[in-house]
Amino acid sequence: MTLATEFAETTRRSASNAELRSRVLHLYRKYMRYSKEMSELYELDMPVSNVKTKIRQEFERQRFVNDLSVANVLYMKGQMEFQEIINFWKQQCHVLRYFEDQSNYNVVDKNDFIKGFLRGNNP
Amino acid sequence: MFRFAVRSVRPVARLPVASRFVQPIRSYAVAPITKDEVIKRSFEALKTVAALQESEISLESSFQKDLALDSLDTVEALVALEEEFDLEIPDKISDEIKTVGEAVNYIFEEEQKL
Repeated sequence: MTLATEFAETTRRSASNAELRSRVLHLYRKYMRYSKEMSELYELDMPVSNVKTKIRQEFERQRFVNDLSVANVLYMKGQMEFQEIINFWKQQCHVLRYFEDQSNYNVVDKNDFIKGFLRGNNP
Repeated sequence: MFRFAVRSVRPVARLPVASRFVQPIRSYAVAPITKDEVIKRSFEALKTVAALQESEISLESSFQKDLALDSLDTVEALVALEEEFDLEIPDKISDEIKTVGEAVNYIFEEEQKL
């Protein structure tokens, strides 16, 4: 049975960068702690280190966000994603979407917009 | 040891039932963990963190200054320690931990409480 409020967090806006920074680090810690549980929950057939690397990548993507309001929204989405994943509100295919591009090796992207668009490249 | 004790009791055959059994002795499977062991195991656990594989870890080294980790790497290192010792360091304390030695000390104190 899942508790609907488990891992829930009231959304609020951090007014300073320093506070948001520590909140993001706490969120990252939660993700890291539960990474093993996630890969067991969704029966991901990959090493846990791979899951951790993916989490890291998703955090790194937003490393240079300077706008505090944007960063607040990103944090909120990250927290929601964590709650959904850990409460098993997703299915395996939803989680595996994060790892789709890992099989796309040998794909040379020559900045061809249409090809990238059709392949569904993330911008 | 148990067999020994039973044998020594046996000749006195007509004792009441209760005293025929050896008083249970509480014993522990493992001795409490020593500081050296904590240090050794935490260094091994830290080596599993990607950013720390090549670095020279010592008790005095600070995660961010000496080992040149960024904030996310530091979190990863502390989680690796948590997993090794099967405990959860509260967020407040993790934020304060700056060096390997501090982490080791905290873990050692937690292990003593068990």
